[in-house]
Amino acid sequence: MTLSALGPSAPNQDGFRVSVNGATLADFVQMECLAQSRQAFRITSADKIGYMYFDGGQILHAISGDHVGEAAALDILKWRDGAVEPCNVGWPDQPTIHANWQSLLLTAAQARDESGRHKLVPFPAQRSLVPRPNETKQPTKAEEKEMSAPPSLSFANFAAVVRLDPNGNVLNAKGQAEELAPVVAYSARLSELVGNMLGMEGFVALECLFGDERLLMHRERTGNLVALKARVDQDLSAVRELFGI
Amino acid sequence: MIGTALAALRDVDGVFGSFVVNRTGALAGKDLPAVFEDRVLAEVGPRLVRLHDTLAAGGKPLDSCVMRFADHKLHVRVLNNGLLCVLTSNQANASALKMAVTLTARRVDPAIVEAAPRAIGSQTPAPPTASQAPPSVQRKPGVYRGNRIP
Repeated sequence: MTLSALGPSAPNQDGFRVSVNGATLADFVQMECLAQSRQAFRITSADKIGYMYFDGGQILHAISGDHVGEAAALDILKWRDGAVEPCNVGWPDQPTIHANWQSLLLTAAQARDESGRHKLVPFPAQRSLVPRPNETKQPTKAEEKEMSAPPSLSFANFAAVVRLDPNGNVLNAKGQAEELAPVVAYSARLSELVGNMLGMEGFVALECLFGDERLLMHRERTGNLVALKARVDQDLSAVRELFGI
Repeated sequence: MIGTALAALRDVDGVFGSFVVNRTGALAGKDLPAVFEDRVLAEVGPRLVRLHDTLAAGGKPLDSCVMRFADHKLHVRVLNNGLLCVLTSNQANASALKMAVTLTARRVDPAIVEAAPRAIGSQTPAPPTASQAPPSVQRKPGVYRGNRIP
């Protein structure tokens, strides 16, 4: 993905013109939202084109193909390569996206996780259990349905998700938030204390393994804590990428 | 014994050292650079035990956890008799470390019970018998500038 921070459409604007190769759209969204800029961008990927509008540290509006609003933003965030450039297009009368940018990135990352998971082939535990070519098991109707289902754009596949502000107040939650929130808040605090005592600054994340379940928590730059519970076999690579771990 | 077993973990690139605390958080053994004083580890241990208890409060037993910091990680493996903690850089080979920790945990776990707690604090050691008393207890009273020192 190539990002251009100041393009030809803003010739008189102060600042550097930056071109970055290898960045992801998630990087770009974080950068724009943290910069609190008010700017529209054109995102192109192969033959697809989309627009994202940023204002006051949030994604205000998005358009892509047949989608508008949150669906368009999630559609664009699935694109893996292309280019981003600022543009002067009509500004919407009303915001069409009300979810915060962190939530959108997390949703997009999960969708990517889920779409990738369907491509994985389980490693055989025992040689004798590997089916021979003429014994290949036909998928059941339920399995077929699952495999052909579009990637979920919700947190439905996580047992619980919670976001806490630096004071421990629950900002967003799904699942067992009442149980999870205090565990997450106190665990992060203890981890920070332990790290400070051992001379390790900058707590970033805590990942825990409980038999068949994992708990991943991450301290965002804003100081908010995000935590999610996942199955042990669930691919969290996109979430890790999003968290920067 | 524990220190020798822990030293094997340093074969993995990126491992700075390791230590073991028992179920009460008292230090049972360490293989760390001298900069990590026992006094510091005595404060860290009980907090790690509290972290374990917090995470396990949901009912599912905790197997392991990794704390990630800006440049370092602290890996914690839950043992039957305590916690095995390994300090690494962020670049340490996670797969090699997992194997090394598993092997080390097998050797260290039984030894935790036998190891006398090294930490100051949470545990009050049993009073020593006459035969176990350290040499400093059995010394004769001395004299300093003409005054008897008890």
